[in-house]
Amino acid sequence: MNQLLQLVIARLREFRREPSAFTFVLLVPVLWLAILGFMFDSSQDERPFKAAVASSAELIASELESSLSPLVSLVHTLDASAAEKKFLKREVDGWIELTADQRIKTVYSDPDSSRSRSMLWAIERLGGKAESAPALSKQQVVRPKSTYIDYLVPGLIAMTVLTTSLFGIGMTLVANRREGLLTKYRSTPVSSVWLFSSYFIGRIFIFSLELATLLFAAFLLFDYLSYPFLWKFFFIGSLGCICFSSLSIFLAAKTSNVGAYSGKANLVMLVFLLIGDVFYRLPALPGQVDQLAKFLPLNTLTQWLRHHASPRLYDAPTAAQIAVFVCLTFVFFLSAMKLFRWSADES
Amino acid sequence: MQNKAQKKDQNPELSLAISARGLCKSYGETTALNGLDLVIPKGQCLALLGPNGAGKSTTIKILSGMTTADKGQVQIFGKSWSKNKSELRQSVGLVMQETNLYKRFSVLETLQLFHSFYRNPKKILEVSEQLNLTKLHGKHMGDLSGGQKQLVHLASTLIGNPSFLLLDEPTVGLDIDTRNLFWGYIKEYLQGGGTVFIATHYFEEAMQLATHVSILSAGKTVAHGPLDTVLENVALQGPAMVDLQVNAVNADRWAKTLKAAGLKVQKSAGSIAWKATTPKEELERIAHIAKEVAGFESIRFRKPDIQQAYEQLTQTPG
Repeated sequence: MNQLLQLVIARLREFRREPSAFTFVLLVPVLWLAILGFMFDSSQDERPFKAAVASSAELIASELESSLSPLVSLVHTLDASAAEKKFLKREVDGWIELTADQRIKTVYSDPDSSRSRSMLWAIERLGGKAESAPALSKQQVVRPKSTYIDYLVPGLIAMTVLTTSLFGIGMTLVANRREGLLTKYRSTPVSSVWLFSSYFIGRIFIFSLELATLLFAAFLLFDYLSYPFLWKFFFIGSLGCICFSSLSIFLAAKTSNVGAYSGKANLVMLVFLLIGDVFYRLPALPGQVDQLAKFLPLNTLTQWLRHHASPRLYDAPTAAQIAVFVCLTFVFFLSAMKLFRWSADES
Repeated sequence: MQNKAQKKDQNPELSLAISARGLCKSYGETTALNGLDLVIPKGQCLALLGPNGAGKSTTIKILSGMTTADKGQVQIFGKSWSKNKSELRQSVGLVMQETNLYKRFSVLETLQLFHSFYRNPKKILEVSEQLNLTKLHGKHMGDLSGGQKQLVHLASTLIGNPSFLLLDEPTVGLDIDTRNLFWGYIKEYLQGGGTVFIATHYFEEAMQLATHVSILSAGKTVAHGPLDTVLENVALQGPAMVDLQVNAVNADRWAKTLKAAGLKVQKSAGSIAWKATTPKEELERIAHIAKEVAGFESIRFRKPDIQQAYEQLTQTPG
């Protein structure tokens, strides 16, 4: 056990005494948070009111469409609860459904906004025009306070877990292999299980520091309160650390050149960030890619974190997504153990 | 107890620290070792000499359990790496030529880390004092000279209290003072009953430390055994310097006759020396001359030094 303790202390010492790692790990996520947060959180666009139409209102959808366009754009959903979910996620500004007593129920928030007013005016105009049109009922809903920061912070946490695992662990392993330090370790009785465990544990310690820094900055800059779900963030983020640390050891398993490892890690990062929704929702990807993207570990992690921060806004990852996440973690780790080279000239 | 002692007498392998038989190792189409045999008795130091590519590094890797041989067997204190790995890791120490320990760790932190890996380690202070490292405890590894780093490397190995030490060109690039210090510590380790295997390019290192020598060429042992025996064998196989003692009265006649036979001789009172081609030929030549010239007293073949033996056996300039 003393072996493991000393190895974990060594990992933390390495981190603390490497100035660039310290900056990279703690400062960069806060910079992203500040830049993106200030850029997008207060954005006010002038697009038309976007309303979800539940399938119950489909019968009048075409009438609504011709009557409301261009003041209101419609998004069709399966039922009222799906429409509500879109509303809560801020994907639409309100929703329209036909109630059992044949009334048009219009739900919206923020009655003072010009977009809400134009939508109500357009619906009233529809009611006035058609004799057989159902009566109109209005309902104002206070939408849970959700801002871009609510979306961004869990994404940034997931991205930080990915980048610092890939560059922190993999780079260190490759450099240590090149300098003969891994061969030195191998010539001692230190257990390889302890050695790799020290990378995971050290990574989780460093993650807790990253998490605290990022959440503190989010609180200072954007009043982002995380204490109700802090431990869930820590727990899910730690699972992410194990998954991405395994990926990192896998990528570094046979590499002896820091440049080559950097290329591999950047390629993985590029794929993850291109089809991952860390900073903003991506436009719809082609059907199959979209389905596959859901199973990307980064997206599962982001979705999981967002769900715990805002459960009414974001679905939890499905059992299949979590199963793939866990399986990939094992596959990365076992493949890394199989392929791992201790010295640069090992065949 | 008696049974054990009897067993040891019957089985000479038990008095061996290392026994390697018929080791073969290839990397693709390149053969690194081709039937290597080695034995090192307990408490002795064997120097492995050989030109580049002769298989020294591969031998070290196999003996230290870093890689396995394609064929052949290795026993360390009667145990094999495949069955007793964790036990052997406790008793076998390895010092390589180039290892960069964490440059932002202090010497003490480095020693504490390696100290934690062993079941029965030596005390950090004891090893530090032995290697004069105590005053460097607070210094970062990155701030040490090459020699100091290598001493810390040796300390991080000795701290595990190994019974067998493998040294892979440990003093390459060190200045002569540090090298002498290093050799001094290895000698102390040997006096304490440890066994050492050293792969080196330095003949002086071999002469300073080794009781046994093994010379490798193209993956095979061309000479192996106690240092004196190896050198004597080389001398008998020639070419070597021949010292001939003759009666002073007849010395001139001897010199003249040998010169006439085509030899480049050096004459001093009662002694004539020349470089022989092979000892057997020389003995035949002397026997022939002795029939005609009186005054022959004795003939001696000078033992080569280790570098001459190496050059002769590997056909490579040292």
